[in-house]
Amino acid sequence: MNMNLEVEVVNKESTTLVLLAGEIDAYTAPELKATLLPLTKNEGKIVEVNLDKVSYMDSTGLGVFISALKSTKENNSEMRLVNLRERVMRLFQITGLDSIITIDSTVRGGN
Amino acid sequence: MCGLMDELLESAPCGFLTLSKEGIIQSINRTLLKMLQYNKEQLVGKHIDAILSKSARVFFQLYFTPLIMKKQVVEEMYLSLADKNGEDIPILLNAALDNNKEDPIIVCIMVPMRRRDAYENQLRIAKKVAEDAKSELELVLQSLEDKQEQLLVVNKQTQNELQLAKKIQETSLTKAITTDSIQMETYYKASSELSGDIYGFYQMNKDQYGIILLDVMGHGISSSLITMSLHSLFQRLISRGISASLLMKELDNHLHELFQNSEDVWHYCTAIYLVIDTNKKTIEYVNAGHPPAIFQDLNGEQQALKTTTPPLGTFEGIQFTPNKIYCKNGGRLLLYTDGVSEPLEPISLFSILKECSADSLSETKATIIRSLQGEDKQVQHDDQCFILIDLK
Repeated sequence: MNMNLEVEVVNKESTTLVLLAGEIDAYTAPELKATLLPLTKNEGKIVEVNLDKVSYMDSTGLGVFISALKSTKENNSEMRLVNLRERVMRLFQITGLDSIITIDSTVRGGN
Repeated sequence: MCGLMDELLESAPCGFLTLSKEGIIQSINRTLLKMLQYNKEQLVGKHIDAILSKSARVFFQLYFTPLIMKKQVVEEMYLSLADKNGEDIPILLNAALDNNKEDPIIVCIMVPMRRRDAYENQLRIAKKVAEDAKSELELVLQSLEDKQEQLLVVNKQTQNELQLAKKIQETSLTKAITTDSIQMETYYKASSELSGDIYGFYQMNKDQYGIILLDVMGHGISSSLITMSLHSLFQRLISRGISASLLMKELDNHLHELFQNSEDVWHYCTAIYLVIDTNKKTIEYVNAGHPPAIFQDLNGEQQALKTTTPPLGTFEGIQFTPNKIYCKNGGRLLLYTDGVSEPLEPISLFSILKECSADSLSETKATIIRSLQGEDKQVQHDDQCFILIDLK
């Protein structure tokens, strides 16, 4: 049984906050991609993704953030990930993407 | 008393008439006259045919007259009267032959049936509608059963195709190499029929072995298609003895070309490629976003062959510079995909490998599988693959 992913977008002046809750996998990643990618196409915009309530992410989820990062480079925008749980952070570290994607160094505990 | 009864009979809520044996109307009450829109003078002395519909006249002669004469009673005979304007009036007729009089008479009670007919008609229409709906439902059900049958057939065909594809994918996996200087054990288990993991081992020359393990994003059919595409490429390139950096560059280019302008189907893959030189006692490797391979020497000292570049197919222009480690006295290598390491957390594969230092390669493999099966009580989320190599 796959959990759902809740995606909430809050627009502020120069930053768009994306609040995620649930699991990011092959079933939920398309929805996240459909929301996140258009946000990264706005030049000069900072997209801050809060993963505090993301309990699980697989390689498909990682793919969404790689696509979003590529989009920021093409559109001169910025993306940063904040409040990652240890398990999710490990995925970025193993793949070496933690040195390419801007990730808030404060890692939340728990799996 | 008799006068009161006569008056009550005149206005009774049913038709009343008396007939001679020949069918001549002798008396008729007001209720029936009103129903037929005649007055008494117009009907008394006339034959019953005057108030019967055409079809009822025949019926009356053929059935009513013989029956009343034989049994002296007729019950609930359904007939149609005809009023002055020729309009049909359905009735139920009860009649009795009174033989006690000098001239026997037939006493008739007639109850109009218009409403009952209307109800019956409605019932018949409703029944017809229900029957039509039932027939339609049966057709829909039949069609649904046919579709389900077709679906089962298609599903069976798809399952057969997937099983065949699984066999093809597993056949493409190279056999473990065992020589005087190197020994291998492998484990490969897809989360569904097809896997996004793939590996290959190739003896490039007398002393060098090329070993690759790839994990394409996601799992299932789409990922397996990409693994097979990458497989044919790395098989060709490694057999030619290509360098680690060039191999990874070629695989990276292949993915970029494959998904050029196809963001919707874009996939990346993590990969680790090792060139083991049993003469120089070196391991040259490139790790593109893959979980770190573990090298453990004979003293139990471990080294992680960590990622050196982002995964393949992610960013353009990546330089795949190889790293090198030395294995002078031999040792043991463990390569794996995250489908193996993730379910085992927080127990790390590093500690399992250390605990199995004195065990044979096959015993170590069995220990890792046991650990995975212990953690994998629920659904297997990801493809699982690991390779154990002993260097002598």
